Amino acid sequence: MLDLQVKLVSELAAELLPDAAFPESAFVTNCSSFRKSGATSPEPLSVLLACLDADVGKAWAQYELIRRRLVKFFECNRCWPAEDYADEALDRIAKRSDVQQIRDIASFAVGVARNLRFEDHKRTRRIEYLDGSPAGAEALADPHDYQCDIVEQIDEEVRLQCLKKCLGEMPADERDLVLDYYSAEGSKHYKHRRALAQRQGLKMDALRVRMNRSREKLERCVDQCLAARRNRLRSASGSSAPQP
Amino acid sequence: MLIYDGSHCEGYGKEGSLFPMSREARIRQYLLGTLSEDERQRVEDRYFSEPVILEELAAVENDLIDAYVRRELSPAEAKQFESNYLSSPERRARIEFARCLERARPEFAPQQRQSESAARKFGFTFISMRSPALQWAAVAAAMLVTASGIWLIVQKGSVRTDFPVAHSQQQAPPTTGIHAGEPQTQASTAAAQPAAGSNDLPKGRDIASVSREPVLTFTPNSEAVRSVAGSGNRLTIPSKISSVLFRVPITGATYPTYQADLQTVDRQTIQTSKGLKSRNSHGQQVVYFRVPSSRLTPGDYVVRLSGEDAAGRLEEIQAFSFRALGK
Repeated sequence: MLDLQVKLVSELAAELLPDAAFPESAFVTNCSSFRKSGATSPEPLSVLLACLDADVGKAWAQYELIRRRLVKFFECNRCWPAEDYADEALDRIAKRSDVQQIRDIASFAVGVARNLRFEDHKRTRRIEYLDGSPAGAEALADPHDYQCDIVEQIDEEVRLQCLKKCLGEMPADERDLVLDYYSAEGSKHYKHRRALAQRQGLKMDALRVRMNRSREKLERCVDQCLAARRNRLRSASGSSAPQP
Repeated sequence: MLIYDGSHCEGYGKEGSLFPMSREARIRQYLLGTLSEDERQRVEDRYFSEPVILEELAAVENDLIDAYVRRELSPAEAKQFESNYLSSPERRARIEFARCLERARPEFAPQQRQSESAARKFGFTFISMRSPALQWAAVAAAMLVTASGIWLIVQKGSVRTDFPVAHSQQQAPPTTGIHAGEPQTQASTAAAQPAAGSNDLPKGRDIASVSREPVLTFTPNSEAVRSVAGSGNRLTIPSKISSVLFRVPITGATYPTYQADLQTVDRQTIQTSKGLKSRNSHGQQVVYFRVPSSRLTPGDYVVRLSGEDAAGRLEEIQAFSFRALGK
């Protein structure tokens, strides 16, 4: 009974007060750059970009930064795929009639993200999970089926090959730095990285940002390598032409 | 409570301590999902308003993933981590990346920088020696070290030369063995490291021992489906292979579960694998099932794959034949 009441109250709150999570300070000024443009019915995305910055390049950079935060938010709140939710949040902001009144779009975005998360969790609560699934011969496959584990390990071998290829393509200095940065184990990594930053003549936070970027770049490279391999496999299984 | 107020953070503002531990710990708790809702919101507000916090979050997350892969997390943390990170393909991919980074590191270790540094130190020490006897001793030692180094390099070179041979005996690269009109096979001795999530394996199941078995994956050629036995799919099973992992791409409708029947050409059932689930592999749905190689004596076989609907009805969706060859 209590659960039902809580649920009703929270659902009502979401439906009646969709902007309840937004800080009031988020609404203050206008987007002067947009007004200067004189457009009458621009695309929502253009309006949003104009609100972020008058300079298109800077506006896109800000857009990407907000999107990155949103992706992280949805990942940490178990809303999958996080990138789709991030795009949905940005779409919702862009389509708001009062988007020009939003002073700080990043702060506003976290409110939109919370509403989306709430909606998602409300939906997933309706999914029922059966604890009493049949056993014996009728049992569903074991989620830790060793066949799957073997397959995953084969996938890991492919990923490792891709990573080695990507590391091989990296400039040696950058590769050495990345591998050194991520080499220290456990509690040693703080001292190790401080020493590394000193050797590089960088501050710790600058080194951290640089290593984040390098790791992201490597992860992207591996993803691209895996995608290219998938395409090759698809074309190999789809055609009868001899493979090199 | 201002959780990120610098004045409350240990070491904040000191030289070289721009990454205060208390803040790192808080972000770590956020990533593990152990903060209260109120605290979560504070963390989120901060990384939405300050780019530097987002960078810290990314850095702490990388370290957390690495710690998991290295098994440095406490059992409770590992459990929290798994409940947060194993539920999405994107995050699992990041764990796989970290695992591969661990494995790749020795091959790309920055040895050059270390050796340069050692050489600099050695040179400085040598120059500072004023006694000729000591200098000669140092020269002799240097020659000995150089000779040892050359010997080691030669030895290492021979190991490197030998490695691909040893590697191919146990584990051919997954892209090899793909020929038009032939099924795809790949041999693999699965990696020695247990898979992610093995911390909560059911009792009595030792994935490490299972995964060290030499396994041959076999993808039948789609054009050979329903062909005369042995005309298209030929499966050569090396003697050291303990089992064959069949990889059957699914075309058309998918089912909650599948059943694979391995039969001889005269319809004698060798093995029935029930409750199989399709998996997304390289962008296509695939059903895997494993057959011990001892059951695949040389001869012709048929595999019948049936989809099982929610009501438990079976419908045959694919059949293919193959010829097993011993080696």
